[in-house]
Amino acid sequence: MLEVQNVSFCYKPGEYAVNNVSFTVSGGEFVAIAGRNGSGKTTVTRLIMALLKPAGGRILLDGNDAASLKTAAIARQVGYVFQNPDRQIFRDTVTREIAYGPEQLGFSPAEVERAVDAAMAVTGLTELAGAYPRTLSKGQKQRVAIASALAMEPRMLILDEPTSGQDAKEKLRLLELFTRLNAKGMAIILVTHDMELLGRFTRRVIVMAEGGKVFDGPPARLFAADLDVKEWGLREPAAVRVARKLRELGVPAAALPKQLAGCAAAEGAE
Amino acid sequence: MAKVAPLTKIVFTVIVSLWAMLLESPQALAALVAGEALLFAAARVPAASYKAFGSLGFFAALLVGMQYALGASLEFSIAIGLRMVAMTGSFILLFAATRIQDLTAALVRQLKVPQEYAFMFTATLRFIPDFFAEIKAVQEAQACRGYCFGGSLIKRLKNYLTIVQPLVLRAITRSETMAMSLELRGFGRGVTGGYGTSIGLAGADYLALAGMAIGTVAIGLVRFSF
Amino acid sequence: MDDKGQKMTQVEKTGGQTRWLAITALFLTIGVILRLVSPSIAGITPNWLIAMYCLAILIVKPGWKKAAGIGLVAGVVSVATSKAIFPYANLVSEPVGAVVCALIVSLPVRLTIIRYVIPAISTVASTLASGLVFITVTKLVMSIPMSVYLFGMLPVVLTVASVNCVVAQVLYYPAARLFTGKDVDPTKEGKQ
Repeated sequence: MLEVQNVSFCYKPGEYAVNNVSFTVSGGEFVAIAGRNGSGKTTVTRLIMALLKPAGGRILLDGNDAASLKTAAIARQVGYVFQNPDRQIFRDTVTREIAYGPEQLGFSPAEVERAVDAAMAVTGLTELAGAYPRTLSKGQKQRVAIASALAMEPRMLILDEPTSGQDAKEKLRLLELFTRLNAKGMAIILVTHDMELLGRFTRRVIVMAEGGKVFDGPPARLFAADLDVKEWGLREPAAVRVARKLRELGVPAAALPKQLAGCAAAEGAE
Repeated sequence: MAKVAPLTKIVFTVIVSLWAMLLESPQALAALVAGEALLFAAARVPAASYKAFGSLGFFAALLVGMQYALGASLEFSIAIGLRMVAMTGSFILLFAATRIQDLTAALVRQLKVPQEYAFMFTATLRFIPDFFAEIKAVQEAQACRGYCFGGSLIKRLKNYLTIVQPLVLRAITRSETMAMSLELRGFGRGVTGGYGTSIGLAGADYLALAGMAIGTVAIGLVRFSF
Repeated sequence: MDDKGQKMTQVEKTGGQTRWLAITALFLTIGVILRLVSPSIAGITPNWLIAMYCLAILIVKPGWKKAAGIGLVAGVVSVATSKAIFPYANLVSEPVGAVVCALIVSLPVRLTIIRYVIPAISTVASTLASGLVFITVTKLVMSIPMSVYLFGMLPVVLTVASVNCVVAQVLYYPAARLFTGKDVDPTKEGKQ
């Protein structure tokens, strides 16, 4: 569905924010893009949406070159949710706010209503349909932004640090939502540096460091003992650190609580 | 550029505009604009300010064209364009060569402008880069929801409001924090300037002011003599 | 508890001493940016600054004296960012526009439909007042030919007034709702 082929980008001449990065994302995948601030992870997603044009390489969406498309056209296939939902919210009710995207894409009134109702149901916003979006909590606003993207019926959703600034309960709620969407066949790309959530919910992690791709594989492999994720600005989840310590103390993998057993497997202790 | 007090720079800005009003011939106005350009170089202002000054040339050309097309003489039209460059250019130079806090301090302490209005003026300028970035972010967010600028006049106005409305609402939210921050730091209790502001006049300032006064008198005499 | 000369500062959501200042400054910023990206027409730059300071006056209701101050600040900012023939005319025109807006906003209007369109009415009146003062001062000071005044400048004033009226009417109610925390639309009174 998405092919990133040897893509590079510079904000300033000679300084590569993204340097020769390649990867593909197929329908139904749940991929996290992780890395420290300034590693290029958000830049890659902005290139996918044609908000930026690559200096080298190309990005194909179902075989079409993204650089030749307008962002509004890409929005039909790929929904993008920004970190700060306040930048897009401007209508007076949640329903009307979510309806903006489908209206722009030319949905008929009946199609708009159907898409909006479906998006609100999935994101748990039906009871807030008439609420004034600006007065909602941060988590609720983020769900409005997600619903706004879902209402355009994309096949892939890119989310740029959607859990930033959220409390633990809201983070969990959002990740469970993404898991449900993914289970229904939607491809999800999640830009995050929250390792706890990444390890628990995603099935594939791409790690960016200094503009390049340094890792692409399952989270379990990322947390193996032979990889030093700290040099990439990442921190292992607490569960992995606990499992590793217990293993060092001689606790066999079979004796670990089941929540940590998976982490032991990540340690390569199979 | 020697260290010149903000008040001197403010006076200079007004004087340049006065000279632009008094001078009539395109040649004299061109000399004034050239002098300003030299000051830009001497002040070693940021590159963005050169760009802003340079872009005035484009607008001046538009102005000249419009005036001429609507019946004004060529000489008059060119003079109008150069006058605009001189007047607006002097303001660009003022803001490029003066720190905002020094400007505020000079307005309040030396020109006795009420603190609220001095703050309003400098805050307006201070937040321009922030809101330019904000506009871009809003445009991107809306583009990802299918927003595409263009179409009929009505559609363009609607599109325009799609960008401006989130901006206005953001400004209201931000103003709450800004107001709290100001009040909790004692705004309005009469103290301005703070660390690092120096606005007193020195020898170079008096020389510059004297030079400006002499220049104004000379230009006035030439302008009004027969 | 000893009073050590400390003063408690009470900050209110909509009022306070500085909220009006903060909103006006930020709205003027938006107006400046919109003005900067608009091309000039017949020597006049369409003045989105007027729409924004009218919006600020509609929301914070500062009274005519403070409005004159707001207009003067808008005038100075306009001079600094203008591409017009005689930018200094803004120092006269903007205070006039701001005061006109403030006076209309302070009128006691009973009729609901008129109250509803006060944002549009005040902004049109303000833009017309400001625009006419601006072009007239410019014409008189710079000896602009009458043809330029009538066919170049006047149409721009009328165009900007019509656009500003729509902008202010559309932006006012959502902005006021966010500012006050309640729906201020007079057509919805009693229907809650």
